[in-house]
Amino acid sequence: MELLTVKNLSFTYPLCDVPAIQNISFSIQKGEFIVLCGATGCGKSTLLQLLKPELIPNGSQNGEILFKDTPIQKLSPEISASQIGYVMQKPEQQIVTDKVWHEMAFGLENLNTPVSVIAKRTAEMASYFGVGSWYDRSTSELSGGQKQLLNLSAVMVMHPELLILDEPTAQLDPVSASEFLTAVRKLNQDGLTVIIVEHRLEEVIPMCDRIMMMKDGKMIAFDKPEKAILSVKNSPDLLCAMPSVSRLYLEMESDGICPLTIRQGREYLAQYDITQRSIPCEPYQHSENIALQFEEVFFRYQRNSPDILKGMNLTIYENEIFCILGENGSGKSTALKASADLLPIYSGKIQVFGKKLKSYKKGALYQNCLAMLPQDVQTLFLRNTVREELEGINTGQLPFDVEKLCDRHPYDLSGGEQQLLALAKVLHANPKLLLLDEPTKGIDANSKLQLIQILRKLKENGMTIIIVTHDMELSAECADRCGMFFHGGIVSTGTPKEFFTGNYFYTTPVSRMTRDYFDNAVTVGDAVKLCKLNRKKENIS
Amino acid sequence: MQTIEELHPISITIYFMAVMGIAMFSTNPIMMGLSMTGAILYFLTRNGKGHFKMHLSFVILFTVLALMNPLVSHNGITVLFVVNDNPITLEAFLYGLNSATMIISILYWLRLFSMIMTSEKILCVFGAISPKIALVLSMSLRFVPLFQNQAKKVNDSQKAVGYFQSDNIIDSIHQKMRVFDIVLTWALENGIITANSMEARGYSVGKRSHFSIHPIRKNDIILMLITCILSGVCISAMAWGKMTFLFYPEITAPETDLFAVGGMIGYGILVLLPSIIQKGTEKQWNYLQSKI
Amino acid sequence: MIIIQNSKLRHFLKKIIPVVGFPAFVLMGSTMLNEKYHLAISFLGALTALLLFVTDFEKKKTGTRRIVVVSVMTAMCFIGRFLPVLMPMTAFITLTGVYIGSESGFLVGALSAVLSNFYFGQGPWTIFQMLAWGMIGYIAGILANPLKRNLILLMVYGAVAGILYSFIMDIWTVLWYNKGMDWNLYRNALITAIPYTVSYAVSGILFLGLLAKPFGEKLERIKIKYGI
Ligand SMILES: Nc1ncnc2c1ncn2[C@@H]1O[C@H](COP(=O)(O)OP(=O)(O)OP(=O)(O)O)[C@@H](O)[C@H]1O
Ligand SMILES: Nc1ncnc2c1ncn2[C@@H]1O[C@H](COP(=O)(O)OP(=O)(O)OP(=O)(O)O)[C@@H](O)[C@H]1O
Ligand SMILES: [Mg+2]
Ligand SMILES: [Mg+2]
Repeated sequence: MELLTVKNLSFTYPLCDVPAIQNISFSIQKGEFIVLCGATGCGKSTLLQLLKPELIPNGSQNGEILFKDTPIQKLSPEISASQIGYVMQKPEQQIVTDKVWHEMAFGLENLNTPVSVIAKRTAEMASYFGVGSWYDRSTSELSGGQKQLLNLSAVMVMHPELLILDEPTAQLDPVSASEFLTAVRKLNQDGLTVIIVEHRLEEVIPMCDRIMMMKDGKMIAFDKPEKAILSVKNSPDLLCAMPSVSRLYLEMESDGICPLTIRQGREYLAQYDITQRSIPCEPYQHSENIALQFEEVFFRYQRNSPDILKGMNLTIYENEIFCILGENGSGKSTALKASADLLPIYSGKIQVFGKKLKSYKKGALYQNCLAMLPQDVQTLFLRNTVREELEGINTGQLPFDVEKLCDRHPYDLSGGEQQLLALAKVLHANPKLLLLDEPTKGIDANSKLQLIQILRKLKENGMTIIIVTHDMELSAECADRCGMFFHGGIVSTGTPKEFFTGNYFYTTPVSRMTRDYFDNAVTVGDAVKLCKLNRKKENIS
Repeated sequence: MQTIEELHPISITIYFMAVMGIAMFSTNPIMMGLSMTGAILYFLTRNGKGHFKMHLSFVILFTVLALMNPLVSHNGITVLFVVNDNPITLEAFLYGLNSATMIISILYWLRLFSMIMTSEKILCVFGAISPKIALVLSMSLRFVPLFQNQAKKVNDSQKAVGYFQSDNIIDSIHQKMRVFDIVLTWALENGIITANSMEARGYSVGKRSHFSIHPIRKNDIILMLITCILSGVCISAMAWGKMTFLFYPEITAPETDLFAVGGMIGYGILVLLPSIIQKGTEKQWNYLQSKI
Repeated sequence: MIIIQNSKLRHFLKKIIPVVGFPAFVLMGSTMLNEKYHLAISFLGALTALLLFVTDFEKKKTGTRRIVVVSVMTAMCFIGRFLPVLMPMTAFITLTGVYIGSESGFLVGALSAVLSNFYFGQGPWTIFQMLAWGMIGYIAGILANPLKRNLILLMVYGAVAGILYSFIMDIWTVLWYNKGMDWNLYRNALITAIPYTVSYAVSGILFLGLLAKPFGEKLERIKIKYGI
């Protein structure tokens, strides 16, 4: 049965000449799991919003959208509210009330559901998603991952038939992201239809039935994942978003069935006769000078709240790229803020370029010395247009194109575009020590590759860069060293090759796939190199 | 057995409204005394020792309030002495004392009320009157810490990319204004997203129900009944004028008859109720604990 | 409000009751009736005015976005009340009334009183604060057109609103303490409250002067983009 049919849909925002969505048609069967992907700003969120009657943005729309053969504008408000569930891009903003239980009951209250039914349904969903243990907490105290789970369960209590998720895992650590997707997967297997937008496709593609790719507002592919991936084989900007397993395969082979899961990847590697297990690489040499040093640093937010930094020790040398990985809410951003002298540590010492933070006079620290990209990039925007925002910055030098965004309000940009704009502002400060808090969240894979290039170039020019991220690929590609943040401090450090080969969750898919075959392959590039060094077994059959 | 504060917010509110309402509209010194005794006893049984500063400030306030009336009001016929040609009368003095007792006792009750009624419980009460208003309040309650955090974050991020460097007063005011400006923009824009999220979950579809994790239990109904009966006796005694107590021009107490005494006893039981229940529960709890 | 069928009349009454009716009611009560009823009467009056408003609001279909903007402004008022010396609340309430409408102005005023008193102490005075601040927002909404056009006028409104607020709250203080109106006590209360009154008035002028323009711009943008 067709649940959703879209015919010749186009959409243009007010005051824009180019349509954000151009002539898209597709239909979705009941019970399908659809992944929607595409570059930053290509119109994914816009398309999803058009599918949910309450969220249709201002602008001019053409075409038809049918939900169970009814045009969605004609759906009764109760049906559209309860049957189409929508979880938005940012977890924080969609929470309405101040208590978890109230948030969960909110949707049902709106439909004037009897209180006894509300009690039953919220109780059931709360236990399903593990929300029960913080059922009467304040919503403002939750961690990012908890907020996202709450949003999902607050939508699910209404028993929707179609669930729409817009980058739900962008800010989650690998473990929480995996748990979140597993929960969605389970709902899907029970018959829920799911449409999900993601940039990190490694985990969702193996789960999905079909994948839809968009480019500049148009749909360019909508097919089973294996086929869709093959169809973008020749456009590297789209291919780079696909799972590492598939990319490895496509680098090595020209045809055949493209593997998607780690297991299929292993089966593929089993065809190789492995003689050379590791890439020769020189031991990592860091510079002598210290850029940032933490010595026994303790910090807590309130007098009687628990310590967030518990005797943290860390040394980062000049001219290296250091990635900090770790769980949601473990204190990574806190550590970063402490090194930018934004938080008062109560014990211990932090030195930047050999000088104590206190000995920098007011403002001197931030003058061509240190700059930080905050986790919430909207806190950087001051003005009414992007042009004013970029005043004094040479837009030509930027590695990405912001020209076409210049007349927009910063808040009208897509999530990824906001991220890039913020990055431009931070790079303008031209620091010696650059701190980036989750720079790649919401950015598509191609822009991420560009970002990696920029970071490498900055490093060549002598900059020291510290990145807090949940993006394993990013750290495997560009870090000199990685550190794991846990229990109030950095518990282990090492070069990406040392760091990723031992882990199970905090690691790249390539490392997980190749660990029985190769010793130190962490990126697709490494694996390709090693495959090329080895020879395929003679085909026995 | 439940203490008063474990009961349903609505019955707690009704109880406190009755106790405070009667105290506020009565002029009878005996009633004032009862209200004060009840409040202090409950405060002490509930909170134990401590809160020294609060008690001290109430004592000071009491003295000031009690002394203010005779200094400004010169009604009454029994002149005690004369200051600057202004007679200070016994009646005015007693009147001040009476008013001060009333105000301080109500302040004690209020302090207890706000200790017991967390914002969540208040919302539960509002929800019964107007779910819409309760929602607005609930959202504002969520926004307050959110905005405060955001202001801090904005200030930090701006600092960390090199704005806000000089530290003279004009600049720092300018900086505060800018932070405020950004937070306001953010708050409004994000508010719209919140509104979308509400719409997406069917807000404004029609009539809303109001869910609360506090169910009304038998004890709640018992408390409501007790409150209604006792305060009913008391209020009717007041309405019949059995408790009218005049200070001016001359202190005149009404004749005490059975009705007035009944009202007073009723009020006395009402104000002592929470302390008694509190003590009883503690005893029972200790007993139960000793068996574990 | 449901009984009156004529919508124009109903509209008129809704405007007239809080602005003229309530003060007249209280005044009448305080002059004509026995002294000892003053407190009860003003209390009942305030409560009825609030309830009238609440029931009306509850029935009406108010846009979700408007409700959210009201919550945002209420939270802003609450935070503003923590400022030392100055008091931006009147300014926020006035601006809400002017830019979003009488009803929202009233709500922000009334609700920020309830909300901030969770921190500053709830009491019988909450009701009077609700009414006083609510009125400031309500009247600002009625005068929206001239106030939007003329900044000086807006600032004057802010000052007057601040002073009136202080005067109203002093009436309440006296009523509560004395159970009836006593002009002697009232004069004294006004004198002791002079520093507050001045700070309210100055804050009104200052914050309205500073905020009117950026605030107006932002609300206009939201109005265009999302259509409140
Ligand atoms: N309210 C708006 N007014 C004008 N233009 C807008 C508005 N919202 C989005 N756009 C523009 O429309 C385009 C598509 O935006 P959309 O949010 O759908 O992108 P996206 O694919 O979800 O990107 P991301 O992956 O970064 O979230 C972008 O170029 C964006 O700048
Ligand atoms: N302003 C604050 N006040 C009180 N507690 C805070 C504050 N900011 C963060 N925390 C708490 O400190 C802990 C660490 O927060 P932090 O933001 O540093 O985590 P994180 O590692 O960056 O997580 P994420 O990956 O989700 O960004 C969390 O438990 C959080 O609840
Ligand atoms: Mg998007
Ligand atoms: Mg963080």
